[in-house]
Amino acid sequence: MSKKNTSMAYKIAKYVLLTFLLVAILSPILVGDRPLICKSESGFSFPFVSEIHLKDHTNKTGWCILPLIPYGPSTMDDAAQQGVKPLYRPEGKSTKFTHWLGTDRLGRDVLAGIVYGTATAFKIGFFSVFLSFLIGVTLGMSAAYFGDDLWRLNLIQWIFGCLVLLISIYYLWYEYLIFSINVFHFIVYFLIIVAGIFVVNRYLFNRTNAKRFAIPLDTLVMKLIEIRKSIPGLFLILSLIVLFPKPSLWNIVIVISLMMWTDFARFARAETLAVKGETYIQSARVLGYDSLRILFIHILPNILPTLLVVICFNISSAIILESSLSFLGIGLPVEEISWGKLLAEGRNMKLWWLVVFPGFAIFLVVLCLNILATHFQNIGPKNNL
Amino acid sequence: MLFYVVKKVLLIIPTVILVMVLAFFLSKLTPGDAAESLMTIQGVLPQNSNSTHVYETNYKQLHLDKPDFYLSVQPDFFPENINSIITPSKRKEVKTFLYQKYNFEQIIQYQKDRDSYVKSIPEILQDTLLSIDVKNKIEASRKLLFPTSIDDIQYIIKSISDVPAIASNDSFLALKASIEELNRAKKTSYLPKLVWHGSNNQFHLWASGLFTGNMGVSIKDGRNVTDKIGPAIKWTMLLLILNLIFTILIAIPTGVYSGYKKDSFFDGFSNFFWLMLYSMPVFWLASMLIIYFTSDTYGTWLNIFPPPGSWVMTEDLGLMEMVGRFSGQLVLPIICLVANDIAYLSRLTRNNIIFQQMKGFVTMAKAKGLDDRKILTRHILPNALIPIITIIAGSIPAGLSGSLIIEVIFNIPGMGRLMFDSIYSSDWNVVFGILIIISIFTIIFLLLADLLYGWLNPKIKLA
Repeated sequence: MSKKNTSMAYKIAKYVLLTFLLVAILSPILVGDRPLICKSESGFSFPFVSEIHLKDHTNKTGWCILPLIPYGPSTMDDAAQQGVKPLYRPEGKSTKFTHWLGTDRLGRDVLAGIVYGTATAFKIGFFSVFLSFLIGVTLGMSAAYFGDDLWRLNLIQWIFGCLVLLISIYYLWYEYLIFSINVFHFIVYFLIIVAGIFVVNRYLFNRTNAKRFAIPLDTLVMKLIEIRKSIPGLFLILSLIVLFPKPSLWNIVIVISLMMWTDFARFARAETLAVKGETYIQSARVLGYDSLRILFIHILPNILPTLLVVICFNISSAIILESSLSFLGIGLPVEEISWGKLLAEGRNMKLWWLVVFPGFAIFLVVLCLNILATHFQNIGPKNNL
Repeated sequence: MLFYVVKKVLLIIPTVILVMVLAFFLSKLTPGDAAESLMTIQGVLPQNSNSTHVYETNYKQLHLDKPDFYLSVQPDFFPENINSIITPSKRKEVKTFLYQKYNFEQIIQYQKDRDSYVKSIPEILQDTLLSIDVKNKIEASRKLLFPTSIDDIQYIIKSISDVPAIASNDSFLALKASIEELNRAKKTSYLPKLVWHGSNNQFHLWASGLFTGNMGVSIKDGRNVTDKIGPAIKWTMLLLILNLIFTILIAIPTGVYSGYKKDSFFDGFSNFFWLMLYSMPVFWLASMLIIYFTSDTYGTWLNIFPPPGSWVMTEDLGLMEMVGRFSGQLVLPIICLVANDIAYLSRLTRNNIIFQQMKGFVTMAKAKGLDDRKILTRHILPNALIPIITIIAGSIPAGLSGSLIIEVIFNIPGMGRLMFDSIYSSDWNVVFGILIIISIFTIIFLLLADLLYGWLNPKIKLA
């Protein structure tokens, strides 16, 4: 594609994505079987935030504003049972009550489902990319920056660090994971202890003249990536997701980020290696700046444009993974609505509108994200491939 | 070169071991009791008289009575090997008490005293002087067998301790003493205890079983896991190979052509088209193809392919014979697989061709007066395709994930389908057997890609 075409496609993709994002954010207002605002003798009320049913409002004198799609994602329309085709209008009702994209077997509106599915897809896309970005970029950047020999500790620091780490993992493991199953406390206390080790090592045991031994950080991170890479993605996700006692959206987020962090780590590592030799990093080092400061203030902003490509690709693959999982019927709880679930139902029931429209929504979002990624790749500072 | 190969091969050994440890401990986290499931498929119900015996046999046969790993680091009041308690209810009870930090020996003592007390209940009840009320109370103390917490136990004991017939009973006194002892020996602090179990542990047996082809039995139908995975591998291999052939046949020529005619209409069109195909979720494409092309619903002329689902092989066939037999059914799955992979390979080829065209040797060849076709075939292609070959080798394992969904949708009895079905029936032996086989397969292919790269690219040898 020529430059002009790509920028055109990029603009369109950007606006399509923004629309989807808006739909995702506004989904509770756009879709629902309860009116947004009602005017009655007693004044205004907002039924869509309260639990009062529709009938209580419509019987009164006054007026109501219904959402754009007057069906909730799980409202079963009695007039449209057994799956009606798109553009079906229940008899005796206004055009507003048309099922624009049909209904499923239980009479649930497909468009409403797609709007709610947008929110689910974006939630999973953003949160899993956020988590995997945190893990991956931290590991990748520090692996490249410190390499195998830059992060050196003297003997006391080594012994202190290893000892405290081992002992605290042991006690945290038993106290919080075995005796009172609490993963959150485990993670919080673990992070506090790691931070404590850093501080003590730095300010208490930091003897300048002692002999130092390096931490082979790069080798460790590369080995970790290799282990993760040696298990095919979907197989890993499937065997991890069955371990959670009950299905939830956050399980999927955690499992997907455990799978995707390697992309961030690899790219962050490669980019940091390229940037590391630049003069501004050298001078920052010579000026005696802290490693953390160099990593997060000098290196991170410079590798972000490249990582933007990975972010776009990973959001799209997270959305595809989530809908694949829901399509397979694994992971998401029953009450959560997702594109993949609609699609799976359509395939089982052989209803084409339940397959074509949710699938098209996935396709559109993924295509736009991929166009965005390609665009960032093309305008990126290093256009080597 | 030999040194390079040996070094690379040796480097994958720790990876394989770590992946195996990971898979094993994941399999240990799964819910359910394998010995009990095996009992169910043997046709022995828990209420049968021989169920205890069968359970014990299964438990030992599945090596569940052995420690998990070579080494365990645990609090000092834990037993050396908790798995050696065979009765599931007792094991569960010991675990619950241990997790409330009660000492192991006192727990065992309490269980013994409790059992002898419950056994003596009928004896006590023979006393005719007892009122109905008291008898009910004593009867209710059988609940000690299913305790919910230590407070419950103490409550039950307290409720019957003022009955004279009980208070003088030896077994009750022993029980009362042991529960007091249990409470007194509750730990508040503990030290780590290192226990070395030697090679007689579950991981060792599982891992050595992997190499000898004995991966245990499936708890779904009692068949050997190896026998179940064997035919499945064949199907997945067939899909992967066909996918690879068609992807290469389509992606490389189009990639070369659009790279060679950079920025032409064809280049732009194929780029956009591949991007569209790439963005299409594979299950969407598959579902649409199935709905429109395998039934009469949307016109008889659209009913081209047989519906998915009949993949029965009566005899053992070779890969080529499988293709011949199932060619009609294989078209749709292969289309879906190829559609997803083509974009990546084609784009990579295109970019590589463009990259090579900018090199000095191309300018030199042009200056020499060589015609364009010869420059392409003799100079650009060999250089551009070398990295492509290694990338293809490395991307074969990645195709496994895609084939999982395709196998599930089209009912192809491959590894992905087997994995999916086994997850649904909680058949963990099969699930983690497949996981480990696929991982080892992936590791080997990544190694091959690495070696191929080293072999084709002389620059690597120096490094």
